[in-house]
Amino acid sequence: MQADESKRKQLIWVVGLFGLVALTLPMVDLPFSSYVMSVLTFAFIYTVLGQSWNLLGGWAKQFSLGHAAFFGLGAFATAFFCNLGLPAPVSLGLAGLMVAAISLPLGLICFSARGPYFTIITLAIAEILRIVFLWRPELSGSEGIIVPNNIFSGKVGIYYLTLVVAAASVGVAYWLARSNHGLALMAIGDDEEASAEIGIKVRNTKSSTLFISAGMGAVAGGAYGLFTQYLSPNDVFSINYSLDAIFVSIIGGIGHPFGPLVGALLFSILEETLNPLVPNAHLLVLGAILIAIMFLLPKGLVTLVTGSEHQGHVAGIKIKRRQVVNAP
Amino acid sequence: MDYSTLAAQLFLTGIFLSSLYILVTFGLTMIFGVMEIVNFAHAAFAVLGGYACLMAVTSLAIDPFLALLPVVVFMSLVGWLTFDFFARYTLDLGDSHVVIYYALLLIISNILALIYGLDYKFIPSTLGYTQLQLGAVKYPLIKALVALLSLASVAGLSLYLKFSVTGKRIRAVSQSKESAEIMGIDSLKIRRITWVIGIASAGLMGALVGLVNPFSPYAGTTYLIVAFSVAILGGMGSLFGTIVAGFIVGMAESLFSLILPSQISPVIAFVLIIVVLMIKPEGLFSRA
Repeated sequence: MQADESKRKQLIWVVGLFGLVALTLPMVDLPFSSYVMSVLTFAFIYTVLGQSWNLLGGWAKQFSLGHAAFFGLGAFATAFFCNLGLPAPVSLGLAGLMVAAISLPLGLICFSARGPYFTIITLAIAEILRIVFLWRPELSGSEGIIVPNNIFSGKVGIYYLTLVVAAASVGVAYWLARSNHGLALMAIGDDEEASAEIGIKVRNTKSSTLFISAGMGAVAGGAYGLFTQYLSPNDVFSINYSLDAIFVSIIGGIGHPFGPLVGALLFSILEETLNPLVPNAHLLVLGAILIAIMFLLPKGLVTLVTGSEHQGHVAGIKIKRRQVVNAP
Repeated sequence: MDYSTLAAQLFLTGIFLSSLYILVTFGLTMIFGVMEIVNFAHAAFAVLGGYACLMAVTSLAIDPFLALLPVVVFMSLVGWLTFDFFARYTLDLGDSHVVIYYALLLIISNILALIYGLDYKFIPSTLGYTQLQLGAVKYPLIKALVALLSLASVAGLSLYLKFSVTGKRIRAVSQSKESAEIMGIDSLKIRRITWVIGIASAGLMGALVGLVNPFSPYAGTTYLIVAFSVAILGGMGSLFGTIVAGFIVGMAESLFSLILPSQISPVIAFVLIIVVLMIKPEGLFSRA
C-alpha cells in the first residue's frame, strides 16, 4: 500500500503540473507558444479519439480499425450544423449525439463478429463510409466543406475547447473505470463467454460502450473540423485516424484513463516535428515504437509512472497459454 | 460490340483478376490456418515484391518474367528473416496481434515510400501492348501471361501441399497443432516454412501485378482488403475455399465494373466481407 500511495501522489503531481502548464500556456506570450498551442491542440484531439478507442479496445479487447468512421462523421455533422447557423458548442454536442445514435445499428453489424473478424468489419465500415462520402458530393461538398468562423476560431479558442474536451474524456474514462459498467467491460475483455455466463449482458454493454465511444470520436472529429475549418472525405475518413486512435492508446497506456493523453502528446510532437521533414516519417517511427511497446512495455508508457499494474485493473495485452494472466 | 464478345472479355478479365487474388490470398490463408495470425502486413510484402522486381529489372537488365525467379528467392529470404526476428515472437499474443501486424504494414510501406517516393512505378516489359487473338476477342498478352503464371503457381503450391511430405505436415499443423506435435512434427519449423511460402507468394503476386498495373508504396491497402474478402468468403485456413472464393470475387468484380463506377468497386469487397461475417463467419469452407 505504501508503494501505491506514493505512486498515486507522483501521478497527481505530474497531472497537476501538466494541467497548470496547459491552462496558462495561452496567457504566456513566448515566441514559440503559438506553435506549442497547435501541437497541444492536436494532442488533445487525438486524446479524445484515443479515449474513444480505448473504451472498447483497452477494456473489452474489441480492437476496432474503424474509428475514423466516427471521426469523419463527427466532423461532417459538426460542419453541417454550423453551416445551418447553430453555435459551435451546440453543433459539436448535436454531432456527438447524432453519431452516437448512428453507432447503434452499426454496432449490430460489428458485434456479430469476434476477434480479428471484428477488426476487419470495422475497417470495412469505415472504408465504405469514406468511399461513399467521396463519391457523393451532396454529402461532402464538391470540393470539401468549409466550417464557418465561430467563437472557437482562432488559436486560443480552439485550444481551450480541445483542452476541455480532452479533460472531459479523461474524466469519462476515469469514471467509467470505477463504475459497474467499466467492470463489466473489463470482464468481457478477459473472457467473453464467462462474462455472459455470470450474467453480464454482453451485447448491451458493448453497444452502450460503442455509443459513448462513437460520441467521443465524433466530438474529436468535430473539434478537428472546427480547428482546420476545411473538411474533405479523404482526410477525415482516412484510415490514418483509426490508426492514430490505436497508436495513441497502446503506446500511451492501453486501458488506462491517462494512456491516450500520454500517447497523444508523443504522437503530436513526433508528427509536428517529423512530418514537415519527411512526409509520413512519423508513422514509420510510431509503428516501430508501437511494436517495441507491445513487446517491452505492453501496458504502455504510463507504466513508467504508475508501475506495471494499472490502478484497479490490469488491462494489458493478454498473453495466451504460457504466461499467467495477471489478476488485479 | 456484340454480347458474346463482351461476355468473353468479362470472363477473361474475371479470370485474370481471380488468378491474382487467389495467389495473394493463398499465403494469407495458409498463414492463418497454421499460425492463427491475421497477417495485416501481407499486402505490404506484395508491394515489396513489386519493387524487388523493378529493381531486378532495372539493375540486372533482364526480362521481368525472368526476374521473377530472383524475386521469389529474395522474398523467401525476407520471409525467413521476418519470421525469425519478428513473427515468431507474435505467436502468443492472442487477439491483439492484429495491431502489431498493422504496425508492420505501416513500417514496410513507409520504408518503401522513403526509398522510392510516392509516385507510381511500372515494371516495363518487352511484350508491351501485344494482343492475343482468341477467336473474336482480343486480350493483352501480358495479362494472359500474368494470369497463367499466377494460376500455375497456385496449382504448384496446391500440389506441393497435397503430395509432398512438408505439405502434408503443414496441413497437419493447420488442422491441429497439438496433435501434429504429438506425432513428432516440429511445429516451429513448419510455421517458418508456411510463413516463408506465404510471404514469397505475396511478393510474387506483387511482382506480377507490377507488370500490369502501376503501383506505389501504399497500393498494398487495396489488395489487402480484397485478399481479406477472398479469405473470409472462402474460409480462413481453407485453401480450396480460397480458390473458389477467389474466382467468385474476381468474376464479381469484373461483372460489377460494367455497372458501377470504378471508385465504388472496393465497396463490393467490403460489403461482401460484412455480409459473410454476419451470416456465416467461417466462410464457405471451414479449415481444411
